[in-house]
Amino acid sequence: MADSVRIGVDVGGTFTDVVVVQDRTGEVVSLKVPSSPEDLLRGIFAGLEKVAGSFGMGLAQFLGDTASFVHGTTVCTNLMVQRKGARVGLLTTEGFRDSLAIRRGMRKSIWDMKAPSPPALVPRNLRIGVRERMAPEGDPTVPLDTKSVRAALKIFEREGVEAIAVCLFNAYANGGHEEIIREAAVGVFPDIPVLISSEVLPVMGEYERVSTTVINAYVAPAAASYLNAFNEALQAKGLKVPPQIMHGNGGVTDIPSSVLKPGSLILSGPAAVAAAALWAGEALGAPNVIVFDMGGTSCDVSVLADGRISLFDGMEIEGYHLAAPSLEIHTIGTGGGTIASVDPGGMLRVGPQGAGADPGPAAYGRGGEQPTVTDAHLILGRLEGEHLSESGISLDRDKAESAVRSKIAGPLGISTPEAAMAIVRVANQNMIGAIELMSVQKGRDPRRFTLIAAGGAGPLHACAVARALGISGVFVPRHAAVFSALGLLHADLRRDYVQNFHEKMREIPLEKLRAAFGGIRDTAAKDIESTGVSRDRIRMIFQADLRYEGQHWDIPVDIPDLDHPRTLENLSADFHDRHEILYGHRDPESGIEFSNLRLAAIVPTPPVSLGGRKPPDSSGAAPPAGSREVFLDGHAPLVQVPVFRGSTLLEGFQTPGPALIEENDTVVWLEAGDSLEVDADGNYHICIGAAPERDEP
Amino acid sequence: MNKGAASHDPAILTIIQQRLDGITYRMGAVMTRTARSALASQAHDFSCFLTDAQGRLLSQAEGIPIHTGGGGFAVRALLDSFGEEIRPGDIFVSNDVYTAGGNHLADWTVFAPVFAEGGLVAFTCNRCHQLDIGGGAAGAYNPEAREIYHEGLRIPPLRLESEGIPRKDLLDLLMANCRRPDILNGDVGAMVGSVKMGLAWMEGLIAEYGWPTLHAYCDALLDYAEQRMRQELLEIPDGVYEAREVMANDCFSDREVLIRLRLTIQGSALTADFTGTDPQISGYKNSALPNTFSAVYAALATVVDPQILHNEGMYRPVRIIAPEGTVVNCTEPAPVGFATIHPAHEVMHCFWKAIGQADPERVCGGWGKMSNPAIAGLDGQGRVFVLYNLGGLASAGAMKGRDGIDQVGTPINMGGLVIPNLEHLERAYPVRFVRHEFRRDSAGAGQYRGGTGVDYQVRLLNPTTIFLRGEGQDNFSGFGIAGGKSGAGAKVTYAPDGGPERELPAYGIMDIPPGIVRVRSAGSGGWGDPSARRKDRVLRDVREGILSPEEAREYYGFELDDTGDSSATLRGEDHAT
Repeated sequence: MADSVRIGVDVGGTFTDVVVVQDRTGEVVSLKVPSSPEDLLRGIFAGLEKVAGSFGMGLAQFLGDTASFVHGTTVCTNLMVQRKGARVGLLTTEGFRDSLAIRRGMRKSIWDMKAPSPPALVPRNLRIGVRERMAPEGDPTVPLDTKSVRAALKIFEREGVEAIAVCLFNAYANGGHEEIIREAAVGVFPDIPVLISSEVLPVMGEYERVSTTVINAYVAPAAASYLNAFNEALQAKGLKVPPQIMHGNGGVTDIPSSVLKPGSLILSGPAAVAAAALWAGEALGAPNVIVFDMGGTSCDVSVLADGRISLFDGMEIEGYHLAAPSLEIHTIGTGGGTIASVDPGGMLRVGPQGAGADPGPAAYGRGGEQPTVTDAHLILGRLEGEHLSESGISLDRDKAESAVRSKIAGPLGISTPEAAMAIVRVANQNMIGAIELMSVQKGRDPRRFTLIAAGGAGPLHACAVARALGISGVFVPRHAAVFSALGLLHADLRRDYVQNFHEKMREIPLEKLRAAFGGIRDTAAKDIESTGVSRDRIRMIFQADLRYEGQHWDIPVDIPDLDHPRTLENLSADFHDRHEILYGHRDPESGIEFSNLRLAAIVPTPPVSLGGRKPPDSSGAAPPAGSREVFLDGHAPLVQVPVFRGSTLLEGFQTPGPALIEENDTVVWLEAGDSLEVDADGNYHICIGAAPERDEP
Repeated sequence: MNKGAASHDPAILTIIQQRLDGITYRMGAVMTRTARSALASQAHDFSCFLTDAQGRLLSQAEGIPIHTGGGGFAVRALLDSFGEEIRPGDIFVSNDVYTAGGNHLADWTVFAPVFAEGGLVAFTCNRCHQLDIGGGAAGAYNPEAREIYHEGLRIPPLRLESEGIPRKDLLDLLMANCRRPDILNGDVGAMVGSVKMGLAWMEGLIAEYGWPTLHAYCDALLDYAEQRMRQELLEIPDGVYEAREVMANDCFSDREVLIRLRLTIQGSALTADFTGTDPQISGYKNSALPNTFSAVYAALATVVDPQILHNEGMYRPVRIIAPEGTVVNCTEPAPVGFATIHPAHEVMHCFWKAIGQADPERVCGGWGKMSNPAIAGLDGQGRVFVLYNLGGLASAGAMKGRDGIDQVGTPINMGGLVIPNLEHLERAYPVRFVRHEFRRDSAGAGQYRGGTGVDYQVRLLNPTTIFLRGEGQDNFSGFGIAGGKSGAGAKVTYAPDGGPERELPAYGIMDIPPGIVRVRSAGSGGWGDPSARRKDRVLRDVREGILSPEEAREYYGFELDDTGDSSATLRGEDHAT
């Protein structure tokens, strides 16, 4: 296998991205094919055939040469969005079967009275209480009544449930009764998934625990059948390595483990961006990186701080709450196809509604009449009609102008270019707000970060967004449009564990903390060894969720060295510091308590070098491929701006803004005052200069 | 058309609006994560907002409606007290109802003044419900109060920090007057942290645009909200609409206390006139003016486009008349502890009933009134604990197009209050929960049915004091609308260990031995004629045990074919269209 390749397949709502890296040369081949939501495998294999062809190979030979295969999938996301998951039976402690539906009384948008709450994922007649009770300390105060369990299982049989979730009150403290129920359930239903909360999420809080357990059960059957079919098809076509699946924690795992906790696959797609951020941060030598990945419908923002992307447990999808450790990714409805409108009070709004792929922006000429961000760029001259023709889409400037004129410029009483500029600025603000939420709100100063612009639309907005946030360095990867799929190739194998641990810092002996972590460490090592990885390759990261006594939210704090004799003292000091960084005050007098322990078990993936860029065709200083007239600020006069073809630019090429660099499926818009340099791999490094003179503050 | 907005750059207008909302939102995040009490950190019983130097509300992206609508009163009271003496680096606190524009004493407000170009230009504010503020009863609700002095510490506008220096002596005084200074100190610290962060963010925004420009855009945003509100009001048919609501007791005796509203819609203006409302009562269900304004504003916000900015401009077309000395504009020293729940709930109900006459599609059915008592006792370490029993909250009324919301909370925060996980409470307090499930047949029937209440049971392990404050007990508090039926009334009972269950009164304080407190919370009102309800929805409710076969027959005219819980079918014609 001298020419082994690594393959990443990232299935999105509109497109499936396939990226291939040749291990020897580091050459990257990428392509986009339409996704096929009704039969996801069809789109994937169409893409694979095509990419194999570009190497002059048949699929079997190509897959036979594949050293690793990583997949980011929307299968579980789609199940949630379309509410097409399994018919789940839920067993709870008698008296508490409605926690799932009460959802702690949370309403997503309190001011919107008309918004209904999403229906519970398990109908009430399939939520059944069993007699038992655990005290909060974990002692069984009412023994499990197995008769009531059997009766419930009979109902499940009659109702034809396809998955079973078990979440008993206080089971975070003692999962014994849940385990007995699982045994009974598996006896009756040997072929369907049975998930228990003390394994899925052994932490305090009955709503989040039941919701998370139920979501896992809800997606489990379809996830298993999809992933197994995917695996079989790949093996049948010649793949010799086990494919890995991207999870919401930013790591990959094999299919047998993925099937056990499929809930974390819901964030599989966006998590790849974060994995890409980790890799890019490392490659750039920048531990602090903000990535915004702006595609056609949305923008995902993730933040790498001190070389790490934090995980959180508060994910919400379609109004359902999933407390699986997930990368913090903030998604807003601002992409190229996002619609701009003027509301009845004369306020300009951009999003969250989008024109989607069909009809798409007005300029697509497919019947879309609403002006979008893409239309605005076209009017401003930052995009050009022919440019996107490689993807089979040509842009009609007249249609864009007519939409922006009639829907925005007219109602606001401004010129069409001014309206286009206003659309872009509001879209920028949407992204700035999203980035602030991920940085400022969490005590991180964005000025200490490098901004990575990815996705087809990201590089058009990067300079303006960076300037507004005071960010001085922007990085645009050459493969910006498939940046996320590239992340798949860099993702480490990773499993996250969380366990309830209610102790007070001042009372607990260090030995007890070590013993508790020892238990989690053994479980983790066993899990990972079972996938064929030796124990000595596993890196463990220990964290404790801490809070001041009486607080109800935790801050995760790293434990760099569990063997250190002053571990507890260091932990306390670090917690006070974190609290002050995040929230502006500390309380040294107050006691500190633990709520959970966390462990991340990581097996690093061998680094991928993308060094092998084909030398550009041109020699010497690359001349601009041309120039075009661009509005710098929405006002005349138009300015002639040089346009470069990215593929012709040599290492060390530099240009000041304003300038446009056209790349595959994306355009870099370099603003006045900024400067750009191309590195050896063909990536773009932008230095943000002082704000150009104009009326925009 | 675009008065105000037209003369400005439309992109900047949108951007500044988002920036202001972003600041209040981030202030809220700081608060959620740092507060000590479960009320603030879990139940989100606080609001962050921004005002200008005149106390005009600029943004309240993150908050509870009942808190912020009257927020301007508190800032104006602060300005009255300190005027020119407000200096950079000062932090203020207040809670008083009669001298400081507060809702009730439990809600403390912390303010940070924002300065630009040598002058005061704005305030960043955080109003948060405190767990305990001293007074006659633990937990900030004293159902036996007859004067505001019985309700806890009154705080007129006070300087908590003077030019950056905390006033420790003052803080000590405040802490000495409550039962859980550790928690109060933690929450006040979190409030101070959040307004300081807000201050820094506001200063950043001012530095970017310059205050004169920013100020002009703030004005334009208020004008914009006013214009949107006027457009909405124009769509509501002109007329005079009258509505009434009652509270069932005055906290000391069973007697109806009447709230009357005469709502006039004339073009783009709205007048809410409470003339004819009963005089203030001796108990703590009186509302001072800021609280009544907040309740009207909250109700108004629910009947118009939710996208309208919730700033002071939205309130400009609204005139509120509340005669002094009534339960909607009480005077010193009337107690007001429960005002944010009752009569705020009744004020909102009156408003919805009135608008419902003009346009029933804009309003929901009545929300079940609150009957869950508070309890207080000593925890295992001998410290006072207070449990509000939020697991016993009621449900929200139906609207055209959606059923009511099963247990969710109170209308005064539009269900924004988050019910704590009972597992958390069990670990923190000497209680064991027995049940927390929907209550069959409590939802008001309708084409869209009301929300169901819950059957909530908690076993108290220690002797406890119970503070009763039921409004929806045994009466139909969640009214039906547009032909819908009312939801079931609440029931509150208590069974001492080994003893029989008996009903508890709707008011008063009792010391009770260990036993089970049970709240069957109120159902809410249905919308539209029940006979128009889709059959599959009736069947679903029967199968799910929300609706009994008897009520399916009585209200919807469907006969159950089968007795099986989940395989049941219904006989009868589907009249839904």
